[in-house]
Amino acid sequence: MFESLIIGIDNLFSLNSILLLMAGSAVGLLFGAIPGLGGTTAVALMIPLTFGMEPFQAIILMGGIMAATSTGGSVSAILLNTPGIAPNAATTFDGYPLAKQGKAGMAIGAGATASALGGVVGIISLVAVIPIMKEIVLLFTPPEFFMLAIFGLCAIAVSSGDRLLQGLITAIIGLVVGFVGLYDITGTVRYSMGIPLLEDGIKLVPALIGLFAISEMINLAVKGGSIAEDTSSIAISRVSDGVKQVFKNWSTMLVGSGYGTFIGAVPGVGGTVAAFLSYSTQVQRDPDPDVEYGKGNIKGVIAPESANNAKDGGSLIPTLAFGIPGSAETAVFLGVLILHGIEPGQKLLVENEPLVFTLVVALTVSVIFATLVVLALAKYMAMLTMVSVNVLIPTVSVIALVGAYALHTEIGDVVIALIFAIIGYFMIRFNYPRVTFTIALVLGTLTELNFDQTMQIHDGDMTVFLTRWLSVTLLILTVLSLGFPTFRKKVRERNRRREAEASK
Amino acid sequence: MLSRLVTGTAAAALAVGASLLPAQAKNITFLIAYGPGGGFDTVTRKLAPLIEKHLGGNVNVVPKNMPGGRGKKAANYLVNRKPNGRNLLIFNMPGHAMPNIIGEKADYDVRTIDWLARAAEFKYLIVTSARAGKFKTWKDVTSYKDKIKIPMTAPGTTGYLATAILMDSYGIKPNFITGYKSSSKYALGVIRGDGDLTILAKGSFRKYITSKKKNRQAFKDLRPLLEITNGPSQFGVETTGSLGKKELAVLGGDRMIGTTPGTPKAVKEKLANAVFKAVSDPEFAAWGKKVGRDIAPLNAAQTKAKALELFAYYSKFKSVLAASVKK
Repeated sequence: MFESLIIGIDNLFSLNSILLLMAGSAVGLLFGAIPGLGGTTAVALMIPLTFGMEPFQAIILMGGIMAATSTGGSVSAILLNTPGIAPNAATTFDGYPLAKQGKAGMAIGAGATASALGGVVGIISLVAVIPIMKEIVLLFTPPEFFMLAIFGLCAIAVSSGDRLLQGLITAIIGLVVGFVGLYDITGTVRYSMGIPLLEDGIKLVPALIGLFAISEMINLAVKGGSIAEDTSSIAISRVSDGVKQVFKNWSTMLVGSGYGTFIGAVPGVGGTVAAFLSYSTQVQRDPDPDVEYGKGNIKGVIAPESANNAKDGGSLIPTLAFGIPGSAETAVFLGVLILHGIEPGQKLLVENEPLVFTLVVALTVSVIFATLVVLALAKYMAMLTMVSVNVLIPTVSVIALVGAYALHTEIGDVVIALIFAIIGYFMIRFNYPRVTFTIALVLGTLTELNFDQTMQIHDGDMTVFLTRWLSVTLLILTVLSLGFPTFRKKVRERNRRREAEASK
Repeated sequence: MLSRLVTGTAAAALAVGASLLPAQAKNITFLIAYGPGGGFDTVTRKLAPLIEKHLGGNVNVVPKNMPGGRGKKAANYLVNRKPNGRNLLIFNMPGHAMPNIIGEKADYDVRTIDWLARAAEFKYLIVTSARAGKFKTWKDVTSYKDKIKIPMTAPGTTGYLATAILMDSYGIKPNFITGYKSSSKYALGVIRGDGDLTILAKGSFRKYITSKKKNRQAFKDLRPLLEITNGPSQFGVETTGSLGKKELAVLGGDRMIGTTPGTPKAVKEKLANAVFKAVSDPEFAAWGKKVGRDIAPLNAAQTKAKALELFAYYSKFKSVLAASVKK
């Protein structure tokens, strides 16, 4: 293994390889930051470039892209309330309020640093679990996937805060929207109303672009001014403060990275779920009862950003071990490997271990490089929040709509983005949380599909959820995550009352 | 290297913008009915530059993913273009024929497509999990009295249909566990015990079992039970042919390239010639061998005959197929 690592480092440290890596990182940052494009598009667009390359050079270029997209996506999530890619959606919850308070620099600094550290933790985990990959992947069967999805859905209760009723209403709408389209269990199309565009379901990225980016632009147009609420009285906070915040809140970063790696390794779940779970866990486990989330808490940026970058390493576990992509991005990456005559699976790990380590080294260097670029430019990026709406609205709207279109070059996706923009605007206006809608949209079908598969496999026996250790563990975690904040709040209130009585 | 990278990066960036523009006169769009990364995607992307080479002149063949409706969306798109040879699609047969056979709404009919060539094919194998140890031979399967659970993709997919027809011919009522996104995922489902057996393309199976380090190879737990062929078994198991089911040998998949029906004869001939040369190119064959794809070139006339043969064969099982899709 050590020898392969040395070869991996050696492959990277030549002028050509470094230039490829930097180009990959730059493309990844750009495609990550532009809503709708994302790493999958970037990797797919770069495939023809790799035709004449050596396999290790193709891997370096792709590694550079994959490692940098989440970091790029955090910038637009913080500055424009628009997740550059879906896994950055949870970053908007506290990142954007921070930007509105004029703390965009700090938020970007924290997001980029958490991304780098999370990415490194994910990659270290990838290296560490290479010998036990098989056991990890085989551990998860449909009952466990179902419980994992239920665990994620609990984030709805957490994200709703004091708007539980509104949260539940939007979550139900999210579930209904998620059920539209082809259902893989029956092979039938549901609720499409005969509209061909809806036969494959509502696509997540155009929906999120409308719900978060364009709706925010409508809101800004109505309100006027700039993203930062009072540009005259605030200065762009120091990016270094954000970096310091990550080290100060190291446990938040570590827990987020753990979620990212673990969930990234489970095929079909992905970085979006990892980021949501990391965020909701952070809200629940925060020892300070007076700290509010969703209104500009730096820990609400660190938790999802460390998770969505750590998942890059995690999602490569099933990709490399079994040729099963852990995410859409790694699915395309798999295609790149196959094009270069490299068969993913244990054969790759056994016969081409140096290539695996070349990828590991490329991912590590790229995530650090992307972070340094973002940190260097954060101050200038943050100025975007002070730009007048007259400039910002048309620019962001055009970029967002082009992003929605470019994903599948489908005009219908632009229509979806616009419909969700209107829905999103009314949700902002009437104080309905958009987060719960998104969580339900992402997890609804995953929950349903795995429940149905469990019932098919176990002949409708519901007790199976209680007879498998991992399923039970996830159930216990779900119950704890729901009950623990209430329990902790009550204990604290009682202690405060006692202290108050004692001091009388 | 650097100049190619810079040029390529600029081209990639421009591609996003270019996608907003009308197709350039000399561009041929090579449609892929599925998302990036899969078998159809990689075959198409490997073929595109070879078709450019054999067409000559200054023609760009640009691959474009158009996933949706289990492949129907791209096929509908193709037949609704002007018949000028500027759009190609790599068809998944018999998957693309299913809507035509069972009477599902589709704008296209595989019998009227202007076929150009076949690039590759795949044949199937029934596999089980060695870990479970439930079945050691195909006879164990046919004599099994309880339900046989089969992890599978959605009803209506090529693997699902082949399994439904095979099981029907043996009088076995399969209990499908559906919803897996790909064959690698349902194969993993068999290994971890979600079901008893499943169907795999032989190339995929070969790929899964050729690891040197057994203890790290989950797919190594797959064991072949029955090979669908009339020839000798490549895996030392019983074959449908040796068991007297010669008609089942057709079960499998074909990757066929076609263009819009009604394309002028001269254009079609030129295209067919270039596409056939591309699929017969030694570079394509060498690549297929390297990555385990069964490259099987057919010319335009042979491809058309094959398409009609497949349509006629699967039409015999219309009721089985229709029932599976409406499950």
